[in-house]
Amino acid sequence: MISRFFRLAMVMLIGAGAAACATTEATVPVTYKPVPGSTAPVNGADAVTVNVQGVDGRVANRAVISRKVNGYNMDMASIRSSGNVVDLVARALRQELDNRGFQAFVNGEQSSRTIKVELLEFYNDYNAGLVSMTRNANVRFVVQVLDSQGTSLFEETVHGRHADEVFVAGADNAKEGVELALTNAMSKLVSNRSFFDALVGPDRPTGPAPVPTS
Amino acid sequence: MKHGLIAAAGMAVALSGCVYSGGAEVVTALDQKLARDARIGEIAVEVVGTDAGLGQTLQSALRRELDRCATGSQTLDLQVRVASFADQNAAKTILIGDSATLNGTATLKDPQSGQTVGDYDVSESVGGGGILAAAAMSNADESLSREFAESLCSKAFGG
Repeated sequence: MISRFFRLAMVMLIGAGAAACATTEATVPVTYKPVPGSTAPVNGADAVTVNVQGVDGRVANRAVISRKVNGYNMDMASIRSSGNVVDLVARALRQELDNRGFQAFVNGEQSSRTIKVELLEFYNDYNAGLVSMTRNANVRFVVQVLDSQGTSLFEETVHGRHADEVFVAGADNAKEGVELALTNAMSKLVSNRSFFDALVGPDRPTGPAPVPTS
Repeated sequence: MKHGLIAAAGMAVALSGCVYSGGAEVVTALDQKLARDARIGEIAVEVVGTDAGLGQTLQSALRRELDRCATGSQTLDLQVRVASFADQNAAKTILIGDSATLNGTATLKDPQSGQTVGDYDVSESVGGGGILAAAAMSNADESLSREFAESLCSKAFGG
């Protein structure tokens, strides 16, 4: 009888603890995990200085990186990043450029190329199922490469994603989700040859367009 | 006795109601003096990729609530952008429970300078299980609009 009562009390305690978690806000240090694999220098990279500028273009979920959910999929407590995620994305890109032989700075001095990174989304969405949770993290940003005259040489929207099943809609899983989504986004960007061609290629010629001769 | 308990538990689950959660998060805090002196002029609501009727409902709820909590003399304009609205699945609510959510941003601007003086993320949810919850959530656009407006009042104007 005592054993049964003790077990019941333990179950109730665990239940109460789990319920409290969903209403407890959390702040986590989101970091960047570099793209695994080859980081061979890009031909001509050592002659290029790059200034990476981060801009916040998000239109939702700007103060949080995720929200805990309960069994009804209701948004519960906020999960925040302890650092500025716009800076994080800019620093992540700088790191990938440094690894490939460029001299890159974040919000630095005048340089031969400027990269504008406009962050559109940095959010992990939990979706409660019967047994587990779907974790769906998305990192989206627009990358624009400008030459020394401010002319655009390359522009693309990059979308990194990480989706899987987890058992807890908590802060650590949200942090891991957005970190993996950010790495996925950077992986897509650095595997795009046109991006590096815009960085190491010549400035776009200025002046009137040549008249075609027939 | 045992059957009575099971029946009572079944009834409780079937009839159980719903609960609200959410609130506003500060992106740019409104200056405290301005918060005391402010009143809301124009309210513009933009709804992205969902029912346009929600825009009207939300605008009415915001006007009603902000006229109550921001009663100063300095006019500020409000721009609201609804990023997502997900309604309940009534059958799911009755069987296993479900929720409705409303997510968006609210930006307060000085109409003279056009400058942003306050900026907030707002997220509201209502959820529950059973017949009563499904009925209560049938007007989720109205109830969540009211919650959205109340959260903005509370966070921006302390009202």
